[in-house]
Amino acid sequence: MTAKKRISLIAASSILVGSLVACAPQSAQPEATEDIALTLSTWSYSNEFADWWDDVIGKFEKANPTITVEIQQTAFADYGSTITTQAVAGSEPDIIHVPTPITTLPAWAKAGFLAPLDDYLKTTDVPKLWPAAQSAMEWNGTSYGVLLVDYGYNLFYNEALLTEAGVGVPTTPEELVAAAKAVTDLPGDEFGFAITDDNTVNFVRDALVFTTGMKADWVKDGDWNFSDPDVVAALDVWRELGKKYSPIGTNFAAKREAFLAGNSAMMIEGPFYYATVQGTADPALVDSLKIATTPFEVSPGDVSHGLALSADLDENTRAAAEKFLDFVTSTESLTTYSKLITSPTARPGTAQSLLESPDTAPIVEAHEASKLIIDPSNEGLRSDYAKFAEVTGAALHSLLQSDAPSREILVNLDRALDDAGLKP
Amino acid sequence: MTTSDTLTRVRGLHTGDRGPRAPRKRAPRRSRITAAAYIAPSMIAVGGSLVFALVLLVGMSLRDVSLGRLSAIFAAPLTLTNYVEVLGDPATWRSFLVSLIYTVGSTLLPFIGGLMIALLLNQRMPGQRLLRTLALVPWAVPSVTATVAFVWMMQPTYGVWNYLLRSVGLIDTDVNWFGDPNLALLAVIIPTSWKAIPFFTLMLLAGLQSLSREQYEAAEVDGAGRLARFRWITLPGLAPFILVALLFSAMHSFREFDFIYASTQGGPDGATETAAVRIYNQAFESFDLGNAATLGIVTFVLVAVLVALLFRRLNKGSLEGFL
Amino acid sequence: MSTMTTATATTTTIAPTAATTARQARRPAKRRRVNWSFITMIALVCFMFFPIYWMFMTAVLPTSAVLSRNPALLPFGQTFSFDAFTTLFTETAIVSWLLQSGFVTLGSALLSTAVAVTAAYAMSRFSIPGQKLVGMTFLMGRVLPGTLLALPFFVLFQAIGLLDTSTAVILANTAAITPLTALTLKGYFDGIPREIDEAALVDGCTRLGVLWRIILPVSVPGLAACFGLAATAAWTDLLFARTLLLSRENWTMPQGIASMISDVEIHWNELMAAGLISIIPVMIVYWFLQPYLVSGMTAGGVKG
Repeated sequence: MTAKKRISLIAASSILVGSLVACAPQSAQPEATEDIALTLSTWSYSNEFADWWDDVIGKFEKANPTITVEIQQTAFADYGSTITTQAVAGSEPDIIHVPTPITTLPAWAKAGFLAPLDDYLKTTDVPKLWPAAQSAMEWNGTSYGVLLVDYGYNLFYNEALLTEAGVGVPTTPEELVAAAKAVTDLPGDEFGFAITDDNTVNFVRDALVFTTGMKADWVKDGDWNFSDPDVVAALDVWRELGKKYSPIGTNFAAKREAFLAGNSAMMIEGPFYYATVQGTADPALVDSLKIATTPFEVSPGDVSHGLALSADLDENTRAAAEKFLDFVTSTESLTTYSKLITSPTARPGTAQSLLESPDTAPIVEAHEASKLIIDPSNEGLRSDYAKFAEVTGAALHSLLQSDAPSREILVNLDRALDDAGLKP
Repeated sequence: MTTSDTLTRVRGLHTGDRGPRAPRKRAPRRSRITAAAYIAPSMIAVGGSLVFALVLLVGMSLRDVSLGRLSAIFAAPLTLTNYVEVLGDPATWRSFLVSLIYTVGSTLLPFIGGLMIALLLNQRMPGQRLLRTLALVPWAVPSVTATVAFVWMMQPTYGVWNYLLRSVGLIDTDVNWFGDPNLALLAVIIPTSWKAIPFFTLMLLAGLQSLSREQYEAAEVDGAGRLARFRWITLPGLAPFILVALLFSAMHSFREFDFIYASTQGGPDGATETAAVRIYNQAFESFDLGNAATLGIVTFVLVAVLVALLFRRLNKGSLEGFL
Repeated sequence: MSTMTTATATTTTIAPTAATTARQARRPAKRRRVNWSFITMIALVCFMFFPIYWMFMTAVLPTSAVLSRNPALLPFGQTFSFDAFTTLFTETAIVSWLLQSGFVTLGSALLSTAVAVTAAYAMSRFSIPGQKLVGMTFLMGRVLPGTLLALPFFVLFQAIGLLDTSTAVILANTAAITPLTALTLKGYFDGIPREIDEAALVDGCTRLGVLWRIILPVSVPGLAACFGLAATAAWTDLLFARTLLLSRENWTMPQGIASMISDVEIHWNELMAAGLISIIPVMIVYWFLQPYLVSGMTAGGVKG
């Protein structure tokens, strides 16, 4: 390209963009009496989730007659890219629902899309009451949102199948493997276990549940530590379950479906799936589909989702949005959430209703003891999560598909992560 | 002259082959303005959006900002960092290679299928209209649904595909279609091909209908067999249609994203990461929009050069007059 | 009126060709023989329809019967139900999605055919400077991957103030479809002798008059083919719809279907039922366009 052409191109593009930015809708001028319409983006607006949003928004609007909240729903698969596109163009929603914030939030925070919320949070009881998982909403020492839900993983089991195989609900990794083997050995096509085995960025989580559960640290002194004997031992358990006692090539949907249809006797999954099991399983099966705490010393946990605010809100909109955050994180709203979705929430004490039934009590127990499988303080990992997931995912796939010794694969993984320029 | 007079004349003339290219008189000034006015709407729509997209993407590719507001991106100093990074990354070149294999595979397979169906549908048979309609249906299936359906059908343990293969004894152990790095690329080519067959059927059926029956009759008199007639009459006559269909289908496959992303996300270990999928992964999984834009521009330039070269060669042939 | 006559006329010109080809195919058969072509075709259609059949099975059978190591290959003897279809109509906004999709599809198909007609006519009848550029632009418009087009289109329609309107999706679809339709039509127009234009011009017709009253009536098959191409593309588009339509009230069918796949659960029956429902309108369109589709493509970018 000649210099002249390049200059004209650059000129053209800057004019173009300049005019675009000028054209972008400006936020309304602050006027105290004016009605405020808030937009809220979410991917989860079906069934119980829709009921919850409708309930919360309905009550909020009633309590604040000058504010309306409009939901902007995007399909889960397109959510991240859609919000990113809107934010780049400067027109993201006022309130942004953040999925798996531990890995999604850093990019949006770094790009300046999200408003720092430390001053707001100081006015709330979040710093005092919220679990350590709230730090997933932080980046570089600044808070960019409020965590709504974190959870502990649960062991989902099919009581009838376990009984048929003559084993009880496992409480240790050894028992878990033995139970999985016993069910797989039964005549018939049933498997003892089900894992996630796909290429998504969340695949690694399925295995990291085992390392956290078995107290193995794959990060040590700011360096990768997958070759640690404890980590190798923990991933060996996962490997044995996945390789010998599970259906293969199961993405998250196929894994859950295998359990739901009675094809797999056990799986480790977030508690939010329990409501689906109860609601959609075959009536002949549903009574034997139960949950327990995971058979580990430590209860592995994860963050689910939180709310953040756009960085570009004017004073009044911001005030209204903060009011909405107050309302959503209130005991009342989150108690309703816990009831409707059968899930714990970030606010302590909101999941009391789940304790009333022995069927759902393990949800609360797992949550209260939970330790995050990815520590939010691993900022290098969080900011380059896709790369980390790709490199680690490749090693985990070879654990499932090859016969090489686990230790060898994991030693190579440590090296591959270093070679990729990744630091925890 | 009344319209119906003209129509009668047109009808008579329309079937006549006018040979390669009618000599054109250089249009007078007035006609040129008319022509420009006629072309303007489509050029504004197609060219306008293309230029806008290119300007935006080139602008982004020249800034070392991974993600930010447009205003912030365009305020950053110009740099070629992204280009150095993208061109120096082996993953870029691997994605071009994957794109190439994927594009060739998912163009040739449906071509063969489409040709077979077109040849069959060109013969008279009962329920022809229904069969012709049905043969087009895969085209109309929304990608979202087709994708989910295929991912389930090809699920290794519970999919009907492996079940059928097991039943007829072709496999003993379940094939992990999307998980095996050696098979994943083939696995994503299959559904793409399935969806592209109708396009070839339509284009080639159209081509077959345009072949003159006199040639076939003459060949038959000369004692040419079915195969010879196909080789010496059908194929040469179809060639221009085949080229156009191949080109458009290849360009479509090259841009294909939905199916690969939903089934393998570009994995395992990059085995199915075509340029289109890599661009998405860079932009929305790694959140490096600058890198994604650069990769897009590089891809665009490569394909543009390839298409331009191809067209110089083809210019005398089927697409003459279009360019 | 004239459109009708032309349509019939063109069909009859095609018919002898098809008939002769069929006669040729049958000629080697001296005695009554099995129509192998027909049988092969039925087999191929079955093969091609298997995925759609499987979608149907997934829609009407319990999920466990379909996603199984020994799936039921036939619906008989199973507890099948059409509940998924009724659920869609009672519990989702499927009617609205279909109407929105219909509007967007009709708009995109009409608009892109309209702009393609004038462009194709100009490219076919005039030799103008920059013609190569036009052709190249049309081709290059189809190179950039869709994922990279989302941002520019969003920014563009935000600047024009058309975000969250069906108009935006219609315009975006038009930009995406026009290259192919213009190419198809140009080939078709090339097949119509230009002497006709000249005669009409001498008779005092304007250029637009020639196009409208003489060229278009004889091009009905070409127009139908273009319409079919454009409609299919617009009906199945998800990229532009999800980028440009923000409110749920404006969702198109593919957006509605996509929203059924959540991170927690997937209702297989309804998802597949929705996919099948969205095929039906297109099948009806294909059926009615059938006589024109094939003959209309005859000139698709090439001379017959």
